[in-house]
Amino acid sequence: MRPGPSKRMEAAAAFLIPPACREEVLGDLYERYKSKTQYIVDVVRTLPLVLWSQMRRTIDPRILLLEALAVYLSFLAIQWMVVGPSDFLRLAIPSLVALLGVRVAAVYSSRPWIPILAISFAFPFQTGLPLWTTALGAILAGLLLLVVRRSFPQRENDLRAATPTAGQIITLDDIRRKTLEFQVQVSRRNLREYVAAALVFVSVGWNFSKEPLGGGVIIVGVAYVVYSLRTRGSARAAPQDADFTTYRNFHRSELERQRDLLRAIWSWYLRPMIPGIAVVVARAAIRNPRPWQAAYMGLVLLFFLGIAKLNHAGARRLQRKIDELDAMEAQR
Amino acid sequence: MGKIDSLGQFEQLVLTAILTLRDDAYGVTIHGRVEKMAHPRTVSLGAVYVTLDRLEDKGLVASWLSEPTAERGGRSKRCYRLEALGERALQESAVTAKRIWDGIAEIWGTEWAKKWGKQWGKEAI
Repeated sequence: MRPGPSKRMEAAAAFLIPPACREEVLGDLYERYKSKTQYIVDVVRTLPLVLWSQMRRTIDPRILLLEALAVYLSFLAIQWMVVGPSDFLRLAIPSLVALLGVRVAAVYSSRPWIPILAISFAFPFQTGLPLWTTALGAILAGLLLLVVRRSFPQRENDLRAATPTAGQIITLDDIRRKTLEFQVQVSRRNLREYVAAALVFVSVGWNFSKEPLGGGVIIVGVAYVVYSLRTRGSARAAPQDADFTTYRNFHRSELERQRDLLRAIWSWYLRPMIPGIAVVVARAAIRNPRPWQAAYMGLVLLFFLGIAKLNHAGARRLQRKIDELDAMEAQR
Repeated sequence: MGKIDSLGQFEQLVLTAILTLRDDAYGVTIHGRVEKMAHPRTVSLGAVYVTLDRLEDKGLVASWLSEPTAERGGRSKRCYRLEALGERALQESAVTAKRIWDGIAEIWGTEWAKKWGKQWGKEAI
């Protein structure tokens, strides 16, 4: 057997190399092994490029923009509460570092809670900001990123895992499993939205006396969103012990319903939120006009635009699933 | 067939390496062949990986994991092959390179072309 690196050296390299390409990269480095020093140099030279390539393959620019806005707005919101609106450029430093940490962490794990840990990368880069801003901003950013990642799963490096589905025959068990899995996904999504709405009610209620008009409009908007989600987006109970055609038709109708819901995201989810935010910012501007208020409103609108685009992309994914179902039905 | 973007020089080297290596195209061998073709420039293994990933994303190559081997510490190789789109892209690049070579040789003369070719270890046209 040809000489190779020690188990310890290889374990260290394995720890550093992203899982998606670990097997072949470790094998190649083993095959090239000549000495300890050469192996270490090879790992050090190869790792950054491999990491960059995996990051590139797992980044969706729209989700990246959404994450960037979520992180920055979190730090900005906490800074506003703790100190007041200031240090807009300085806040970008821990935001960028946190975002980079999140993207690097995403290459190593697809678990949604990883961003919460990766956000801690921002701590050494406080750059003179109050500790409370960094700490609470990081916690808020982590929670928002958790919601973003749950709602919009990152692109899997699935080129190599893809299996052809053309001509695939689907059984009764398959369609029943797909139906139930989809209903569980919808239920979980709705639960996250209800929890988020409850948090908004609590935080607005807490500050209601300071801003009753804006708070009231926000509460009405969020209540409308909850009502719309409940009436138009609830997961329906799947049929029990039905035949293939019943499950297929049920699953297809549910896919269509959720697809239409995502396509209409502006009308029932985003637009109702805008008046409340606009009232709060407008009243703050009347009391104490500052140039950042317009920029803040712009950032919020940009954030909403990102959410709309991602939901439309989700609608297109659901349409593809509908088309696959139709194609499978045609083959049966 | 899909639209092909023009290939960078390094991408052309990697595709050519995969073509010439046939069934033996994986990270280490592709790197060795690319380094030979790019001589005297040195090529890093990481740069080869980045380019292979990019070519796979573009649909020009396909990859799969082979069986593990003892020579690689019990680890698999990721083997590559050209897809039809990759073959077409490489053909177009080769035709363009030939046109460039002919154009330069027409101005600077075939004696220059021979001398230049020998200097870099290539056969003169």
